[in-house]
Amino acid sequence: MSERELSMSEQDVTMSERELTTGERELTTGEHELTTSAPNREPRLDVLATGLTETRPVCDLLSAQLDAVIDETENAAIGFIDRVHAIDGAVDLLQSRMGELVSQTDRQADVLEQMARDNAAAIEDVRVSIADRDRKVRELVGELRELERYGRGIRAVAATSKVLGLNALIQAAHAGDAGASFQVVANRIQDLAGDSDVAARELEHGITDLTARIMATIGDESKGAGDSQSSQFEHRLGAIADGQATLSAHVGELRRSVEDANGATQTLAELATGIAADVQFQDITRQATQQVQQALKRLGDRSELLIAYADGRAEAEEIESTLNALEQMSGDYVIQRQRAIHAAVASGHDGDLSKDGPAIELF
Amino acid sequence: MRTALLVDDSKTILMSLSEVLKRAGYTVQTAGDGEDAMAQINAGAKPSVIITDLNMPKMNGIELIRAARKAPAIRFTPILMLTTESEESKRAEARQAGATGWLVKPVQPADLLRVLDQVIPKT
Repeated sequence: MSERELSMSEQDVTMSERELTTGERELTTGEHELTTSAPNREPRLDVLATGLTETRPVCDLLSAQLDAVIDETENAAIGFIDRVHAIDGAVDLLQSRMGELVSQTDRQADVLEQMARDNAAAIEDVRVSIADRDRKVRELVGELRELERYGRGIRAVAATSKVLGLNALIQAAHAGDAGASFQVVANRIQDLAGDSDVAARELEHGITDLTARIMATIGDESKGAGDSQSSQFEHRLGAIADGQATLSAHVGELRRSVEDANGATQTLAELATGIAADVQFQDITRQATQQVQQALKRLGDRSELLIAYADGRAEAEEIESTLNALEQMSGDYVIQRQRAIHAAVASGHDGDLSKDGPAIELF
Repeated sequence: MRTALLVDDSKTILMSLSEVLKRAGYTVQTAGDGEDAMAQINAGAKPSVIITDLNMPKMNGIELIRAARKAPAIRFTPILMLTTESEESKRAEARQAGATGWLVKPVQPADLLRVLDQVIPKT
């Protein structure tokens, strides 16, 4: 026992001379005496203990670095979620505006379609009215031409009267003095015949001129549809209707474009939501990293135990009870991939990911 | 209006899944662990569904399920485990404790919403 006490005190002296920094360390191997096994083991234990001294600080430092990694990834993930949330807000607003635009273009398209139908009906009404008017006017022209015939009749009567008057003059001349008054009447008849003929000619001429002007206005059917005023009017109305139809078609295209844009914003909203969910990776890596930290802590604990053993402060049995690091790590895993990696490293073969249960299971 | 109680010690999980559920029309409450969740329940919260992580400080997911199944107000409320864990023994333990279902992270939003539609009773 006294030798042991002596060796313990000498170890204490040596321990007090050691520098416990990562920089300089003095190894003293001179004066220790072993109380157990071989006499020359003490220096090797001392070297071992000295070498293990850095292990705990290194493990603590690594764990602190991993804490920083966890914090950084968490901050990044939160920032990411915040941005996605902002995108969601913008997408919501865009969808709302798109919805309003779709409704407005729908209403405009409906209005234009109704206007086009109404205009087409109005154009048809006008065309029918114009055609009816033209028909009636042609009927009137026909009746006027009938009057022309009467004029010719009057002229025929006037010509006959003139002949009769001439005949009467001849007869009156043959009658001498007795025919003087008859001669006056015959002259008057001739005058009247002449006036009638003039009036009838003027009437004919007037009717011909009037019918020509009327036909010029409504258009002569024999010359084709392009020349008539009514066909020109129809043509202009048709151009207006065509313009409205073109506008209606453009509004229809606009509506389709707006609907496509609306669909795209919906897709964008779904993508944004999906991205927010993808951030779950941060939690998975956090848990995996925390298990590495646990293993580092156990490594640090064991190194301190080994140092204690080398200093005679711990027994071999305590160390033996810690020789299950791999088993403990395996027990800590929560992700099948971790187990697969563990198995692969341990066995030298690829891990089996197929032993997982289903990703979604309802009980 | 459907209400979901999300229980997880990960801030990012709470934020990201809250976003998913709110866009789907849910009112969302959150808790950082099982104890916090039970405190809310004991204070009167009656969510339509509880979605909980497994590994949490103070009270883990399975302990939460056992406690929740003893609370009269939410005894029959669907409780889904949402966890990175995939081991069959844990799954069986959750089933035995009274969990309604098990989802492995990361879960796709469409899958989560579909499962919620299946487990939340229609009113």
